[in-house]
Amino acid sequence: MTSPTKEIFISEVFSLAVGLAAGSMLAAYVGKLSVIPGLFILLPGFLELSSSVSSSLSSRITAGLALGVIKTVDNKIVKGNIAASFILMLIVTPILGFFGNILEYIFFGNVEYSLILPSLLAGLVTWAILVPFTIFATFKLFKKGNDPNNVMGPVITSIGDVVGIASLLVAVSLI
Amino acid sequence: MKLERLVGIDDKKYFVILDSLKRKYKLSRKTLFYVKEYRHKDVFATIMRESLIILIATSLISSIGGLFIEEVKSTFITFLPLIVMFPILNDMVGDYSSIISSRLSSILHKRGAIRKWNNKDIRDLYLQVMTVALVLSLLAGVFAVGITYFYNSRFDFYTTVKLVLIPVVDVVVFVSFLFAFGILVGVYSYKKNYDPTNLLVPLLTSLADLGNMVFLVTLSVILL
Repeated sequence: MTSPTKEIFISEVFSLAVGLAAGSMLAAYVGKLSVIPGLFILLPGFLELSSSVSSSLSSRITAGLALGVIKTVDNKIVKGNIAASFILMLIVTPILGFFGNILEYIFFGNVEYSLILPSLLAGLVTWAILVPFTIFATFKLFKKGNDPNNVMGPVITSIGDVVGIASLLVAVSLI
Repeated sequence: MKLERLVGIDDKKYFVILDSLKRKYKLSRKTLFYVKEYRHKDVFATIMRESLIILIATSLISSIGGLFIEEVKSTFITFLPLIVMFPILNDMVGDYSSIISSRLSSILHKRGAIRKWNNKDIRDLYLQVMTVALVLSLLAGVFAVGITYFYNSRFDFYTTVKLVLIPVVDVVVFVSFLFAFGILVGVYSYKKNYDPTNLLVPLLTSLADLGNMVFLVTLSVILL
């Protein structure tokens, strides 16, 4: 196996392993998936959002670390990033839920279940888990001499899927 | 302190000085823009201004993909391995699209507009991605069927073979399509003097997010 193929292979094996965990969780809760209208509409957008927010956060912090404008977590730029990621989740998750309900109503005529609150709750839970993990891992990798840009993208996408699916399933179970 | 003074400079008023500074000291434009963006008071506002709309747009596009799965929800629930495969394939195709778009952009920058489709760099990239895609999609199918066996989701031999082959066909066909599309768009943008990176990365990743779900659903409906 050539070196680039090996590099792609290793990162994708990790992705596959974590993806299997996420998929198994979905399969275990298949009963919930079948009774809640619109959950399949919400799911891909929600996973995309969680990964995008955390990947951008990691990328911005990495750039700040590389330029020397960020030295520790207790920094105005890091705090600004954390606040922005929180507000982004707070704004976009209810919009996604609302959009899911609209599509469900237009194409399937279902209106009995609101996705707004589960989406918001799952977004906040995901944020509370993914953002500290992202910041911790980015600082740790940078301090060890690695470039977090090469590692964090696929890692966050995969872990984001597991956390996102788990949060969403917990949220729909609670509400 | 020097950095504080630098980031405090008014971009528009001192554009000429900033531009000559960049040229004289070979400062990366991105670095200077980054420093400007990260004036402490602006961090929050800059992120919100530049991220909010694009985040809403990309998430909603992915949700439209979810609409196709909702349409065939009963098929996915009956054939449980499809549910296990869904996040894996979504991730995998997204990752391959990122690799293809960034590597194609580099090839175009290095080699210029490619005249032949069987250019060595292109061929190598295709073979690298396809080797990994073939092996891992097959593994995804086998594991998905294996895991759901423990959820009492059992099928006859032919259905099992089809379920294992669905991720293989999905990834191979769709990634090949992304590859061909990436070359066409990349060469076109290069000839028009656009940076292929700016066009290929968002275009291929959005296409992968939405297109793969549509393709997976179509494939599942046809084969099962």
